[in-house]
Amino acid sequence: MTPMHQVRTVVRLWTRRFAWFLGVAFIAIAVIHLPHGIVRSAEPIPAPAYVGPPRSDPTEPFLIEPVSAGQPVYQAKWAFQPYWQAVTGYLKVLLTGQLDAHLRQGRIEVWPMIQKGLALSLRTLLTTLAAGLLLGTLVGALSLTSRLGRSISFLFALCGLSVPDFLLIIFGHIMTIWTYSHFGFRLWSIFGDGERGWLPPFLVLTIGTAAYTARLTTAAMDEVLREDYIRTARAKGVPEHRVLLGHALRNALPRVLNGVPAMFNASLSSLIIVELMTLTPGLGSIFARYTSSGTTATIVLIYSVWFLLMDSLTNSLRLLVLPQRTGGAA
Amino acid sequence: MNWPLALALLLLLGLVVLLLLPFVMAVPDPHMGVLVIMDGAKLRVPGYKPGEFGYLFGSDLVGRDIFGRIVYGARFTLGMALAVNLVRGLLAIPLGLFAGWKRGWLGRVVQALATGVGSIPTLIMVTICLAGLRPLILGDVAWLIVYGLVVVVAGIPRMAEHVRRRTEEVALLPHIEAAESLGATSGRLIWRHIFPVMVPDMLVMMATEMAWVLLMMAQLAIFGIYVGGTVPVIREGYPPRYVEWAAEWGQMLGANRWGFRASPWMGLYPGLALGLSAMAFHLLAEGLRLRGLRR
Repeated sequence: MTPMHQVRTVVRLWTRRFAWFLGVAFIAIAVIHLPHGIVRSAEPIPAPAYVGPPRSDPTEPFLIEPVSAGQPVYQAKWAFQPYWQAVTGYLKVLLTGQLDAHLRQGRIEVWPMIQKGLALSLRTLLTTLAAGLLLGTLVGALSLTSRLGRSISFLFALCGLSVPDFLLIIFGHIMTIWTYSHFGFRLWSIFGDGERGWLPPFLVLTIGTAAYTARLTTAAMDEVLREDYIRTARAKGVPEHRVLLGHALRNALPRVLNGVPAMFNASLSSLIIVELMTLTPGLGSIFARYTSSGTTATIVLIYSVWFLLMDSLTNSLRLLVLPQRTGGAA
Repeated sequence: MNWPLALALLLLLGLVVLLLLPFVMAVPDPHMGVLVIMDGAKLRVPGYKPGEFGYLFGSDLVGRDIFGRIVYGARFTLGMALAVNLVRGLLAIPLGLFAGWKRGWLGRVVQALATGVGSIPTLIMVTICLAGLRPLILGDVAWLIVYGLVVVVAGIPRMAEHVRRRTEEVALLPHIEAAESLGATSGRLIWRHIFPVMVPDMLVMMATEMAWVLLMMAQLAIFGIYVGGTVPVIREGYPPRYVEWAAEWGQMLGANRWGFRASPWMGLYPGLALGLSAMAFHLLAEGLRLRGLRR
């Protein structure tokens, strides 16, 4: 493939990703604003509360079950006009940057929070991605050293991938409660500033990314090392380090790069959960707490831009560095 | 020794035991609550910690036994995840097979859909769909169906793309060329010659997807999106307390998501159940993959 061809392919790739972004943005804005089309002709009638069987003893157990009759009645219909107004209103807001949300406490400006959250989330994401990729590659490279190294690498990847992020956070909270009640100190406060500090999200997100990277590297090497050309190279007496680095790792790299967008997708999902559960005021927390359609749509657009940038960069790298392996990249 | 497969089978055996437990021993009713319990001269209100008053895993805020809810919840949660996975597989596998075999526009559509859907984190995509649709859907049954459908649809493009890629690889094998030259039809080639070669791969994919569905259900629950509704429980002299009703792990985790610090056991056990189940299917996928490689 000539350099001109490569450049053309990369330009086509970026154009396609941009078109996908427009499509995703259109669908996201259209779906998120659907509830704005609901027009209530009568206020919802609340469901009759459960009263249970009459009992004189409050210590007597009782059965909790839904009341079968009298489901909540909503007299409502969906209309296009208010829906369209909400969509166009959001598009105007997006251009002016005056995004707000209506809460019980009143109306609040969300845009400054999104800007702060964006910086924090991006910093967390990039730091943990860098740390995770580095750690994951090192652990994955262990699989090249010896049988024990491969076992350690495999075990790390398997444990890191199998234990969900939310479970690690819950364990972290329980450990914090335990250390505080038994020893008088909070576990997370040792390195950071309490449960809202940088340590819990950093640890959880780094472990996930590192495990994914190690898994990708180990699996790719596992498959490549069984190929005929590796056997041939060894039979010809090529030194082992050249077999591993020159033949195996070089051919395993595209497979690793193939998995990076999926890893980034998983990292973004994890980021939201981790931010929410560790009370980190990033985009994930804002997404969950200020649930106005404008906020939700804006954060979705930001996440899509991040993902498509990462996806395009990874695929461009594959195309430019390893042009012989371009199948399906663009 | 295939350790991941052995460990996965052990964990899956645990899940089977959990499913069968109500048939072999008395498990506390998952819907039986209590307002107060006498502790000597004191009146204690729920939630009770694990081990207190005979509650093995503790109780929730209206005195329901969490162990009982975990045991009965296994049917709902695992059944739901299995149903979602089966429907996904039934739709995505034929689509991927045909797209991989025919190539052309169908292949490009599947590829574009996978990248397009993959361009938003799955969690966000499912959340916006469900959050956008929630106010339009009335009734718990309708909500259950929509929830299932959205989770099904979210995974189809990725699965179909995986199958398409694998089909393209398998279609290059010599026995396919031989069968084609003997005049086999497309349908026969796909179902009799391509699909059987892909079965081990499909098993790995289905096990992985099962794990992802369980994790997705847990993550959605943390966002407050779960199946089932709430019921108000009246307490004398207090405002009604709205509690989740159905014993479903995601719902139990989601309903107690704000109380992880005050009463961590309420979210820990359903989270652990979901996490261990997902882990079992992850390990199963890994074990099957290793088994395939060794063969």
